Amino acid sequence: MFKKSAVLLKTMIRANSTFNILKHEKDKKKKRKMIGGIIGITCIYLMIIIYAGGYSALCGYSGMAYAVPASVGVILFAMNFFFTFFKADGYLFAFKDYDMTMSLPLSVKSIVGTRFLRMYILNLPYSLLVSASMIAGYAIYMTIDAWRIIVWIIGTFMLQLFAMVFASILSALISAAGTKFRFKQAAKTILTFAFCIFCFSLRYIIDATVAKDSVAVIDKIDMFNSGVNRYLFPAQWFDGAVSDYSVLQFILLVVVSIAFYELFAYVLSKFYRQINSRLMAVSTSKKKGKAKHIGRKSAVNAIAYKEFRRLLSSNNYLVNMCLGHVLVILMVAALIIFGVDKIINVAVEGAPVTKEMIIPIIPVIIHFFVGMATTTACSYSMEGKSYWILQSLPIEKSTIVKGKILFQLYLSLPLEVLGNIALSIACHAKIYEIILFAVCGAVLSIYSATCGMNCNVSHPNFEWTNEIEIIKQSTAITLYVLPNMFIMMILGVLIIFGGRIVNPDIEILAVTIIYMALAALFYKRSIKKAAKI
Amino acid sequence: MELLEIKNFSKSYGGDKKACDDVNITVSAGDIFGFIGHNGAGKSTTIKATVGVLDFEDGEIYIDGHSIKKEPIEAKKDMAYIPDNPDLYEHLTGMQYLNFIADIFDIDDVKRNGRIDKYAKMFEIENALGDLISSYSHGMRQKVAIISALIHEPKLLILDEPFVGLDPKAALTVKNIMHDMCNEGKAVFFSTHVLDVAEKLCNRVAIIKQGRIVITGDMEELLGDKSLEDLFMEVTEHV
Ligand SMILES: Nc1ncnc2c1ncn2[C@@H]1O[C@H](COP(=O)(O)OP(=O)(O)OP(=O)(O)O)[C@@H](O)[C@H]1O
Ligand SMILES: [Mg+2]
Repeated sequence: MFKKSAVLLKTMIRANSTFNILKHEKDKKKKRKMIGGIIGITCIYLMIIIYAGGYSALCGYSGMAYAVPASVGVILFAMNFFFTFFKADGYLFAFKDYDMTMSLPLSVKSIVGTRFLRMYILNLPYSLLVSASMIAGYAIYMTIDAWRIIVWIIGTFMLQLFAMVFASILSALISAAGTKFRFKQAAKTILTFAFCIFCFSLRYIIDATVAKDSVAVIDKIDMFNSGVNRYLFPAQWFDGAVSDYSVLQFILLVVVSIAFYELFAYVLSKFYRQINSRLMAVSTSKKKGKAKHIGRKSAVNAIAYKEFRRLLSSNNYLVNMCLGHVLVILMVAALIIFGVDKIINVAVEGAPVTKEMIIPIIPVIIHFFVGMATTTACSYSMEGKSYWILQSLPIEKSTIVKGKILFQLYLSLPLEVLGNIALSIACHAKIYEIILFAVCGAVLSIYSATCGMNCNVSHPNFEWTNEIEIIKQSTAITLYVLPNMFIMMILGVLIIFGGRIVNPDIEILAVTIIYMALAALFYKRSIKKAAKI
Repeated sequence: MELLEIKNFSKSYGGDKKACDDVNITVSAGDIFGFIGHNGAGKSTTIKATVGVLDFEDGEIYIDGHSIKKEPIEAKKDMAYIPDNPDLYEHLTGMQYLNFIADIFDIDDVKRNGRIDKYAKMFEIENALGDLISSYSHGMRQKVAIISALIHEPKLLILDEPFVGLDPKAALTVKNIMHDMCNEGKAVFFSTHVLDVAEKLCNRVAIIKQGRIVITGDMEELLGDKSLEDLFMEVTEHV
């Protein structure tokens, strides 16, 4: 049985891995492109190394090396939890080769196991990178012996396992609950969003209730031992095993993680067929009769509308693309209800930040959320096996690019402009600033749409079986998301510090102009590159 | 008048072996042209290159006088294509999909609604058009694909294995539509494995073997008093 599962897993990974295609692909141009993609991803790995290694070295430098193991625990947990939570549903349920896989002579539990392991292996490079970079920073300030190294390595695997099982359980529960509704996708999406928002606010909920009287006791700077993190037992055990050489805590970490997985696989395999069968049944309209006719649209708008239906059709796609939008809407709602001072206070936990300090980075804050993801970074590849439709229709490739960009603009431009206006009014920005920020927001959202499109048409991939590969794992989306996220963070810092030398409004004006130029550049490049796909 | 001209078309997928080697085919107005060959002979490759889905270097392909390489938009306007296994947009309803295609061809409301109603009735799927395509059976998808191909009344209809998966009544409807089209001076070009159908339906035929056309011409002239099956076996075994 074990051998058969191993074969299935191997085939599954091989069928989707870049290296397999690279090995058998004869087309030189395609090969070169793939190598380009690999170089891009390597750069991102380097960024992770610098970021994680730098973080732990900085901890050591400021005399807090003791906090590093707990941080590793929390970071690995959080990272793997979110990586998994947003894709587990696509990996575990209603995947394309479900019929084929289920017809193989394997137990349901080993099928669940291989699906899970597949995700596990895909996440592993990131966990190992973070963990290795952090132990390197840690080693500068702390003694490292065989025990610590072994615990660190095994602990990384276990922390990842624990976090992924936890995320998969929640995702499975949401999927199972979703099947109870007629509009399964909508129900699933609402549940997922509700859960995300709960997660983001968990810290404040606990701070406000459980930890109320202990706030004074907890050292605020030592954030990894406060709030929610005190309840994150695997991270605590990892910390104990590394820092205090506690064998008991190490055994707890290993045993609990594995037992947790076993239990999960066992229970899920009991309901697996049932959940999948329900999820794959597409509801058809109850009242049988002729479908209504639809009005005429231009070609570009027809494509934009098609993108809209595509986004609505998939829980994974919607949640991954619109989480930032939902957060901005909630933020604006909270601003209206609670007022800006209270929100700032909660967000920075009492650090001396005033609304005047926030004003210059308003466009950056809003864009950090709204620009977190963009449909254009995957919508071209999403055509997948249906790409023949667009290829055989009498339209220019540029029309496709325009339609897809247009849809992204419908989705994010109004929100980004309104978000900027709302936040600037709440912070009492001057009138001309409000206008400037609104324009900046519009430009940033155009930039995101074109930049994402450029990433996608540079690395198109139509040969996928599971949309999650495109939404979360594709070269295109990685090249869009990570660099832009880092750049926005750095930009925020630069604007604040630069504000001591130049007028912040001039900085924002400069940002607007630079991003406008970039947007124009990416738009041109997208159209040029799309013509060749 | 030639509606389709494939001239010296060759294609290799990167390896040394050519999937298609010096293919020449001409389809004139009023023709129903059958394209026959073994599995892997190069039928789909030729068809995909013809409709602009597959890139190619060697040879030229003209649709109603427009080169698919140099004027792809003009060429595609007069043509419609249905692949052997149509992957449609699963997340649209049948009606939304048909309207999407009509939008791309810029067909006005009156015409598109008339045609959708007419063909949906012919293929008996009026009641399913409001449902998502992901809930359709294989044959239903094929029917929607066929309707979408007819919605702009193309001069040239290109089909890859159109009869696989259709029920007998739908297959008959497709055959009738093909006859109507050729009476109106349009043309149909399709690949098939069903030799009986090809023999009865087509006035012209080409047989392809390992990427090369081994015989092509008028069905009646080629057959004499043999059946198409005999001819197929003869040319593919011995040439
Ligand atoms: N994407 C591809 N990459 C590499 N080789 C391909 C590809 N598609 C087809 N081929 C090869 O090209 C040749 C012709 O294939 P094609 O699909 O045109 O055959 P066909 O006549 O349509 O066969 P069938 O009757 O089975 O549909 C085959 O040898 C096949 O292996
Ligand atoms: Mg074929």
